[in-house]
Amino acid sequence: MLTQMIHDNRERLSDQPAIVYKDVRVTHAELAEGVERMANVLASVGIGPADPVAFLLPNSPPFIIGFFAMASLGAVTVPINPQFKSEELESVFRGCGVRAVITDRQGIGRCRRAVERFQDPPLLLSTTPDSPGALTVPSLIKDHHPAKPQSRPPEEDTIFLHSSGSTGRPKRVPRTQHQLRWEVEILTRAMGLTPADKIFCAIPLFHSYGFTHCMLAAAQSGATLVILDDPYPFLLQRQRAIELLVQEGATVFPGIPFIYRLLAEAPGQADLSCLRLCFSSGTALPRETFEAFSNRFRMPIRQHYGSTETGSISIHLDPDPTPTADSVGKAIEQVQVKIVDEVGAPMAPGQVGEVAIHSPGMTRGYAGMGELNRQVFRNGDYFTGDLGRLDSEGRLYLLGRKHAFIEVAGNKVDPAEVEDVLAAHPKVGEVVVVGVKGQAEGEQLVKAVVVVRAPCRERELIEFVQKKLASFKVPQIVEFREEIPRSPAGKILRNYLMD
Amino acid sequence: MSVRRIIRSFIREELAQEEELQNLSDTDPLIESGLLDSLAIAKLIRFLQVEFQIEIGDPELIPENFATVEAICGLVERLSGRARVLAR
Repeated sequence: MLTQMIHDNRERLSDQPAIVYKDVRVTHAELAEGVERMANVLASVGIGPADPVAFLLPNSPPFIIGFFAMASLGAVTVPINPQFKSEELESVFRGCGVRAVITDRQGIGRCRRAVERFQDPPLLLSTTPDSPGALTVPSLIKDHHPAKPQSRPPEEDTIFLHSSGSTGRPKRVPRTQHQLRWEVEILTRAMGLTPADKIFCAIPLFHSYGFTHCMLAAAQSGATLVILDDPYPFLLQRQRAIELLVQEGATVFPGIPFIYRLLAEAPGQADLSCLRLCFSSGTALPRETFEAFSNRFRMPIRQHYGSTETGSISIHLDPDPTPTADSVGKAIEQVQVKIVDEVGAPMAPGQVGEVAIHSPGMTRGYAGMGELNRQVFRNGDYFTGDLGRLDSEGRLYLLGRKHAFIEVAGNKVDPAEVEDVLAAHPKVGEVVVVGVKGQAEGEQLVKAVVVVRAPCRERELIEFVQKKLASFKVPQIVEFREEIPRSPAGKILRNYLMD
Repeated sequence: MSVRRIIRSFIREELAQEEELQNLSDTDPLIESGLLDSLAIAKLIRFLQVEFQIEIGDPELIPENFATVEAICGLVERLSGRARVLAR
């Protein structure tokens, strides 16, 4: 079903570029052939319907080819943040029961460590040579003919995404071919995407936002996907990003506030008049970032709202978004946005409550989490944990979360995950992790407040977390306290820890 | 301590993300390998500015200047005007 988009593009747009990556232009015909060959490679190593395979890959053609090849086999892609440490990888591999892992030379060492303790370890495949312990995909591809395209049932799971969700700690979110196809059809219609568009991809494909708004949107519309081949660290890559946007004449740019701020502050001259649509998601777009970008490039940033669980929810498509730029826009076609009170009853426009969503593209629920599913998927709605209000014209404004995440340079950090790691340190008696204001509006630093059992240095705790979690989750500040402040009812008073 | 050692030790002790970094050489790729992300670069810049009393402006914020320990030493040398900054 999803792979059909690739085959359709081969028929109608054969020699046009599907992907621009470094100095390579992959045409739609080449992409379709790559997908068919890769499907045969995967089948030859025993991957078939419902088999989960982890992708620890940067934004690159192998990620895209690999996903569509998996979809054509009915196998399940498990995209993972390439920054994850071996312990985090082991947890995802075990949780999803992955049969194989596709990575590259940057990830192979961590993958090998992650599977060391498996009785029946997943097969390791690498998209680059110099990856000891792994089969090399390029050499396998040469030996395989393209597989004959197969039609797959729309209701089978095609991806396991991971979400912090409405209540913290990563959870597995299965989405089917049908759910993704529905979402991307509605999305491309809402954005008016055509094969003439060039979508600039500087956000991660392993995340649902980049996955649908860059990769699937390009495949559905036949647009060219222009990949910023090495977007990290964006602070150092922003000049290249601007050069690439101009050079390729990008027309659509899905970004996040962190990226837009760095571009607005970049030195030198740049004319981005090629862009027709910039939208921002992931976290609230600070007004000052909206204004700085808009003043410099004469292009407003439109907010988009979505979740891993539901896919796209709303997008701000008013002809002039400036007066209501704080809004994430109106619900996209067939999606219902409700504001509900504590008992789930609908509230009137203007009133603040929890945002609940019904969408044909939403997941059936978190894998293996019955009790949580009963709490957050009720009466056909997903209760997002976001607080918001609707205006009289149906625009949604987000006003915070019931469960607080820490926003670090475009990444969401769940305090509970960091607390769990620190609590396992033998000298830590009690720990609370909070976000404190960073240098820029809307950005935060991770701060750990610790009550120790034995004398302990800040460095010792930071190094302990560094070994176990991706770097953006590591506390930048550690504060030692005699006790954690609590309310008379015993609730931790986080606000007192955020100075 | 030489500038080179100061930088190497800061990266190893403050920014270390991987076990491999403990054997960091002056020519090991820091950006290409993904060892330094945006946050790590921001920390490193703050450290270099304070430690060596230099101002790292926007034009210097390009991958080439932070690609390896050697490249960072070169950046510090250019900005501080020290002649023998690379001395061990």
